[in-house]
Amino acid sequence: MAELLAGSWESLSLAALLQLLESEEITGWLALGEVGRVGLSKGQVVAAEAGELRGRDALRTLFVVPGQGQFQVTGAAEVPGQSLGQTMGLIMDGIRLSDEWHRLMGMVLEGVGELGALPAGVIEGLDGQRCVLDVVLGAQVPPVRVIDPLLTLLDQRHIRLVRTDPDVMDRWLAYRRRSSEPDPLEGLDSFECLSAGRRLLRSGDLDGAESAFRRAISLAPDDRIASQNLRRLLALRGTNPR
Amino acid sequence: MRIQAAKRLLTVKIVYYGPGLGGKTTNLAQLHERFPGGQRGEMLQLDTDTERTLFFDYFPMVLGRIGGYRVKVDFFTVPGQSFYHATRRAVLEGADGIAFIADSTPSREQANIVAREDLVENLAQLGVSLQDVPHVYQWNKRDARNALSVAMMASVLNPEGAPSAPAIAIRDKGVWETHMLLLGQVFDKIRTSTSPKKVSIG
Repeated sequence: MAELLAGSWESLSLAALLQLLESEEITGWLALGEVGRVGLSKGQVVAAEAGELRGRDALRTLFVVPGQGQFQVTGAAEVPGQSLGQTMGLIMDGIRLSDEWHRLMGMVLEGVGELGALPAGVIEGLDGQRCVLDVVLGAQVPPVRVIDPLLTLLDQRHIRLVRTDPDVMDRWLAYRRRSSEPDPLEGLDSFECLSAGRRLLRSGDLDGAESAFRRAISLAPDDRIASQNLRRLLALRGTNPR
Repeated sequence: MRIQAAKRLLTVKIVYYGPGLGGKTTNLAQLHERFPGGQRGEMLQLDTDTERTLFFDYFPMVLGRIGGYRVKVDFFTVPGQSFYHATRRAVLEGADGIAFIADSTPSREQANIVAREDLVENLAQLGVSLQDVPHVYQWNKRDARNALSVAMMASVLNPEGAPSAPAIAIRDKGVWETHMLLLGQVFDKIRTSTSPKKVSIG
């Protein structure tokens, strides 16, 4: 299908793009670099993809983890799917989540109550030692899946703020850069992920190494070597390996 | 202002700004109630983290035609908390008119000042001066005990002498007057323009 519009994602925000495409009643796909894409039918958002996420969570992720690079709009005769909601509502929801995430990601939190609303991996990470960003990236959980649950648990005093990590923004920007690039672990088997993790660890990329070890474990849950490497890495980072 | 030539539609963006709990949400809720059902859109609400703040309200109202274009007005509020930086920026971007809802409660005197400074700063970051945007002030909560005097609030918050109105928004007093004052300012500016020059996406 024909390309209708293209440019830099950094100079034209997702919010601006969605409003423009709505006003022009475009049917087609908005591709956002390597991060994801949004499907539109007569200007209404009917589909969104970001990594393994689909639908509303995917769209929210595109707001919270904006990529860098180019966007491209291509027309289509039809994009199937139901509207995800009123465009302005979707936009403001996404921007709100982005604000909340920027507030939360540097918080070092400790669980002191019932944490059942959080995804596995995140619960264990709320040990008062690592900030939310490190916990979420380490657990390979999309930020959009933890923002509202964390806010609720903070409000209910089931978690408490220990301190705030002042250096979190650098790591967040590094993560965003990586997110804009193709997944380096895409298509690798567990052994290859383990090897990649060791290589990243030697190069000092602890976040990348942790992601690789966790990917190796997810592909081969009984792989004791990958688990040992992850435990050593977490100990190195000063986190209680559980 | 956003112009959709194919649809012959002109969309104007109005923002209600002010300190937290000052009555922005109440103003828009009262307006929404007042508009005929067929002319208003759905009021969208997104809860924010603290207080009883409404994240934003939005509803269109057909006002008639300007230069052959149908007119739609989008109304927004912004959350008061400081960490909603991106949200405030997105809402203020491309605003055609601003209603600053000031709180007459004596204990909120400083909050009013901070909110106005914040408004000026946020607009400056967008490359806009408050003087360039049609705006009005509402002195809300006139029924507050020992309410700050209108003259005192105006001297501090409104040195530019923009139009203003007293209000008790919770009782629907002054809400409509503020709204009409602001729309008058906004559409005067649009009509006096020889042609729509600025098209922004906010």
